[in-house]
Amino acid sequence: MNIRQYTIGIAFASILSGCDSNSYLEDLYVAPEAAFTTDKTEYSVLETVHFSNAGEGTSFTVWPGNTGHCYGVEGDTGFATGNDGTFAYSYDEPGEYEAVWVASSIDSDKQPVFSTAKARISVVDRNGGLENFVISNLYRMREYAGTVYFNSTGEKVSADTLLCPILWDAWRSAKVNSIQALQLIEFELTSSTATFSWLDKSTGSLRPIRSGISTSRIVDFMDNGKLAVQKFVVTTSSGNETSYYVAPVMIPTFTDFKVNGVSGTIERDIAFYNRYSVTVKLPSSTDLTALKPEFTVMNGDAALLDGTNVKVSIGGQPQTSGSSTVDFTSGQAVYDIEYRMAGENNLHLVRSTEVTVNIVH
Amino acid sequence: MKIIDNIRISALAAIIAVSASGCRDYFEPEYTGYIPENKFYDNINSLRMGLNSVYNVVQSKNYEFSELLFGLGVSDDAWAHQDVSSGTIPDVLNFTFDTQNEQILTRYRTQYLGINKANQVIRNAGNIQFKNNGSTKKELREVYGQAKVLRALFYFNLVKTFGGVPIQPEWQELGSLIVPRSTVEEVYAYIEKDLREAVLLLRKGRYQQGEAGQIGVGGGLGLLMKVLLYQASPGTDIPAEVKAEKWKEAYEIGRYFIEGADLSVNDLLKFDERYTDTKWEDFASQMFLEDNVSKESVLSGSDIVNLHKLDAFDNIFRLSGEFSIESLIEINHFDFSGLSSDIDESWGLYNNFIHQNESGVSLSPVATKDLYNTMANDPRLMYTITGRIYNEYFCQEGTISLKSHDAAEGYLFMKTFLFASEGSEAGRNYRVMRYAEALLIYAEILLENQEPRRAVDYVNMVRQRARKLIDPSNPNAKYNPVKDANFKDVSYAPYDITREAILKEKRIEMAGECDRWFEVCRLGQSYERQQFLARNLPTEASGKIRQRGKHFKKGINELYPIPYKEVYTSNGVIRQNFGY
Repeated sequence: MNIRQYTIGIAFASILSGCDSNSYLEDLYVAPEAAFTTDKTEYSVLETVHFSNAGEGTSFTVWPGNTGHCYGVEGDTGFATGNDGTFAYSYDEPGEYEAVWVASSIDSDKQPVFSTAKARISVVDRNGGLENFVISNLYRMREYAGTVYFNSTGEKVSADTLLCPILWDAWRSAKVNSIQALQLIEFELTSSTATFSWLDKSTGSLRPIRSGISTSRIVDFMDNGKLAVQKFVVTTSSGNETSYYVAPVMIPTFTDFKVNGVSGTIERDIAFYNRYSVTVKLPSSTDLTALKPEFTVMNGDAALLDGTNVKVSIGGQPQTSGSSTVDFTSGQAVYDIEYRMAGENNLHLVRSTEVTVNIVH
Repeated sequence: MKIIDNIRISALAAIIAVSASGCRDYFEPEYTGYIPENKFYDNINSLRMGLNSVYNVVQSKNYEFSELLFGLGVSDDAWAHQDVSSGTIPDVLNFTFDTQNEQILTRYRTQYLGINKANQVIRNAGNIQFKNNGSTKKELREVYGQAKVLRALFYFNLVKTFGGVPIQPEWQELGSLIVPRSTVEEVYAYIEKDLREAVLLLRKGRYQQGEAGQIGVGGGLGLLMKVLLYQASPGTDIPAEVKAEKWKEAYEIGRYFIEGADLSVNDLLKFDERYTDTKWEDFASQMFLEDNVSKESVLSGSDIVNLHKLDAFDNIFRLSGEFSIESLIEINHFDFSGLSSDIDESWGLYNNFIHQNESGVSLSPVATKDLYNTMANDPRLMYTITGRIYNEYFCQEGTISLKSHDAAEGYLFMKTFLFASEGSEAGRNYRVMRYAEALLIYAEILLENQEPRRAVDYVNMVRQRARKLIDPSNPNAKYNPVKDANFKDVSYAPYDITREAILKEKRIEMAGECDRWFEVCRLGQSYERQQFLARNLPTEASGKIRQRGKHFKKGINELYPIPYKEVYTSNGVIRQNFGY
């Protein structure tokens, strides 16, 4: 049993027994001698710092030394340790802090006696990261009430890669601040002291973006005429760099669909980005049992397609424009379009669309 | 070990137990001057008294003020004079508190007070000598079910505020009063189990007139939907695969409550999946179920679906709107002032808002300009927030002169406004949950279950109710500055746009109802919204500078610290939250 626990035990015993003598204070008084340890001297932001008593006293207070908790500063506060003389804390900003440990005891005159000790704690930001990423205001969607823009929020598909799904209309209608050229982005970093930059492929250098939540900056996603994965870098105040790759992946769609030379009307489902319908009006005499639809995906855009990265199927059966036969006797067939941005073998940068083709007379 | 069965145990009674752990002999003498629980709770009326004492906790100043402070005061919807003061309340508002903050301790302690009172009712329900004629058994089920809902409500408040907390056993032993913290997932599982069982037990109807103020099945189902929603939400510390499952479970409950789909007892309880060590017969006996109820029994949705409806928005917060058909959980308050009583019930949540010719007490939150702007062109605005120019609607019974316009931007919350004819705030009820919230929760559930169109339909159901405020047939429409053309339905739209619309609708519909902070936390937006506050700090008339949002630490302040006393007295058994 250490001295602190012993003192507390006696204190309660005296309360319970109704003892009114203070003589035991004199016997038990131990001059405070502040001393403490931490498990190490350098920590990461938000990493737990364990303070432990290594001295003498009956109660202990920790002043971590960050804003609001500096010893000797009026209005600042310290933290009482647990009764085992330990205290856990974490710093949310990098920096050098002077932590102060105050040990105290009550002497035989019932007066508190204090002792202080100090130590420097270094906090570095090693874990800067990208928390949120949005390609914003891509396209004004007039089909919805009010002023509504298509914003593409990044979805993490691996530790360092984010997929930003892109609506075809946004690409097709691309003008100023569009995905085909310069693009507004918004981002949030895990650390408020980290900085964010993007790789300018034209110069091969990193271009910093002033960091901050909801900060909008313009970034070029194009590379040699193709829509490309863009590299971003988060740099912590300690100099650590973490790279992130943002992939703007098209949500594929048919841009042309013909049956027997008759073009269909293509419409997106107003409640989904990846559901379309095609309506084709054919003469009532048309034999629907073995039609050979001709279709084009995303205008065959060379900036998006490499000849292998789109697959069209019905119920898992691959479909080739102008050669695959489809039985439309039910009046309907459901196509699936799968687009893999970075080639047919890429498992992560994938988007699919369901297209329901209706034949009407 | 002697079972404690005759004393009320609060979580902080652990202080005494631990302090005196070396002095157990001190407690060994036989207790005198008490009535053992099993003798006190031997009839249904005694059990009702026990239940009333649980309701009293929700009705207490400590509970309601805590909801106001933590649910609204710290959120991005409110400023207060106290933002620029010093003390325990400003420390909570500004996230400058330490682990010994009295407001945090009170919140923690009040919930456990309620839990221990609810535990008394729950553990003693089996002692009741009821006539086995069906009716008394039904009464017993309803009391038992209400105690479970209230216990769930207290734990829900705890887990939202502190993360995983100790789950107090229904039967406590003197030597094991200190219980380590459970995980967030475990606490939610405990809450969910209580609520699912309660739905089976609660009255399949509303309590009205002389019985009003009790929780029926609508309250149980509404809270269950909310608890499932919170578990599935991005800001809750629960594994992703569990969250996905919770969206599906929430859909099942929503279909039963909101749409009237039938639900089997097994699907309600998940009996086969979650009660693997329990026989149905034993469970049915513990729950006082009738012999003809089996886990295959079907609960008819048609018995439920019409119990609650949206009511007139311009009436639900008035005196005449108390115990409205829209109320799912509403805590009764009675004005004892004429009886020269000092009963705590005379203190109401409403005391803290700005009333006619009064300044309010303690907190007196006022709305942020951001909230005001969010509601612009919404017919609900004039009933929710007012600026310095009073709408004639509020002057119908004479001139009014509200105070505290000098706080922040001066937008006062008006759902708590009292007309002269409505008596004092002391008798005004506390609305814990309304059907409108359940509808908007269901909209979010539908969206997450890939039904965006139907989600929008439920948002528009709430908006169409709001539109009635400006319908020419409404006599109050003439006061409303919003015109019909400016207030449209939400369009069908994909996931992201619809989600934003649902959340915006919820913020507007529930503005000033002590839920915003927890909503923001469950969405994982607490840091973002605190940063928003910090960038938009209004000056106070006194010239003092606000600090709201500036001290919020991301990764730490999403949860409050376990009160120091609790950690200290547990001798390390109860671990502190990260960063405190």
